[in-house]
Amino acid sequence: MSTSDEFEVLRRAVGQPPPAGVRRVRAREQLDAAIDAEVAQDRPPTRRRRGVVAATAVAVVAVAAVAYLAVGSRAPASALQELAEAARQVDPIEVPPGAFAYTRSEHVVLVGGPGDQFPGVEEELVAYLLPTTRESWIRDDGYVQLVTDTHPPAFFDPRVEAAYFEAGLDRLDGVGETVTTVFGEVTDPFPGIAWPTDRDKLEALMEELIPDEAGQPPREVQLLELAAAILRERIVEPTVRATLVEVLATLDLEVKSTDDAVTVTVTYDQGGQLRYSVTFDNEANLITETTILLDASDEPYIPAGTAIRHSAYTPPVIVPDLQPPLP
Amino acid sequence: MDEQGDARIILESLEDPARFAEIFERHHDAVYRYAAYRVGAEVGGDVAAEVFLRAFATRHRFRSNASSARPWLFGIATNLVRDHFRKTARGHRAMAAAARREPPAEVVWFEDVDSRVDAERVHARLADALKAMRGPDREVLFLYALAGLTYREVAEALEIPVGTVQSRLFRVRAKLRNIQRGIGESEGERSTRDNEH
Repeated sequence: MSTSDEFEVLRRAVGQPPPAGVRRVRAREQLDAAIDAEVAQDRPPTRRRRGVVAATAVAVVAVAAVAYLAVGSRAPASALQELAEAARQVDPIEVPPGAFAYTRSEHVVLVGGPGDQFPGVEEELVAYLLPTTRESWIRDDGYVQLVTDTHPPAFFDPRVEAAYFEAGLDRLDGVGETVTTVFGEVTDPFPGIAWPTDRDKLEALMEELIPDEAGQPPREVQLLELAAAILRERIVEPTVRATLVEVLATLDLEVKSTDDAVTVTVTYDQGGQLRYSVTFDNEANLITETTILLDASDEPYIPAGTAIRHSAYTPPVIVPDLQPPLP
Repeated sequence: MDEQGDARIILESLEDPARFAEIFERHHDAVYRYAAYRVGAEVGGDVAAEVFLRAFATRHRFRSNASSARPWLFGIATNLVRDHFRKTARGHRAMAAAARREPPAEVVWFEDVDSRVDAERVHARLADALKAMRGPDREVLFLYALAGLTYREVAEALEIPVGTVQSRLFRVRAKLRNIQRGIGESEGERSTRDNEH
């Protein structure tokens, strides 16, 4: 789930418009005048609507079935094929009504900003890594509760670290704080989508959902990110997980496996070299996602090989209420 | 908020027009914020005022089975914003200006941004991205991300299927993620500039 999502950056960048203030007063005066005018005329706008209005159109996810065109031959990634087969053997989890999918996850994100916020730091830009721990409870009806603990950052430069605390930026980041957030209604990033369990159909659908525009990361990266997004912190049918893995097996990805996990990695150039890895357990649950910066950055200073984004998840389990599962 | 009560209030306002003021009190500020994001505070104030005048005048058309008046009101607001853009032909510039607006002093951090771009660059890139965005994508983005409507409410406001909302949002999300990613792009641009000098 992407509740700490890309839109948050937009919200922060755009900020809040100035308060309505006098505009609100003027608007209310205009409305009051319209109300008074209608009352004076003793004339309702038109006939009343009573009774049952036609039912709201049911939301239908219009998914065009795009014909899948095989392009050339694809060498099967045997580890992924085996993982897919293993996932298909897993019994689906029954989710009782009202129950929650619980996931505990650890995250590290790169935070960047202007250096002038750091006393005594001359660099124009600085960056540091901010770790958080998150517990999520997600219910089928869209109800989501997140409990997030923010931990002390990791710095690449001791001067930045000293200035960070001197300026009180730890309070802005909420370091040491636990924040509970609750969302209602539709919080599923893909509401209403029934993920196909046929590889070609799923791949076609995923292709539809990724942008095909200049400047985007390579197709493999986008499809891998999408696969991770589908699995993130949610109960996903084993057959869908298996099919997702089968789709990944068709991509040009580096695959490494152990007894307990399979990791797929793609290295790409987004103006700089990045390495994105996703690890699945042996039931095709999402376990980790990591993006590593392969080239060092001078400003802000970020050493080569830094994991600029990392998330580790426990496989989701069913809990009856807003409590962690019993040990 | 008693969202369930919107329909009841609007229905009652057909008999007692003054009841409609309650709808204004509930939703004006959110509608104003959305309009201000789209066209700036001054015009946004006018748009928000007009939304409630139109809503009042056409309240008999409100679907009495709707759970909330929000999609209806934001749908009117979106149409008014479109009209404004058409009339002034300055929509894109206003959009860019809104996105370039200086953030409040305390908001300088961009969590979850795995990039080495500073605030100014993020704003410039967002502005450029918003300018380049297709109008329908932009409307969905603002209604969902800034006005806080749910997928279903956005769908109702724009009278499009929920599936269309989600696919547009997925596309927009990918674009924004690309901006955040920006690591190499910043360096690439910098290198290019350096080479030019």
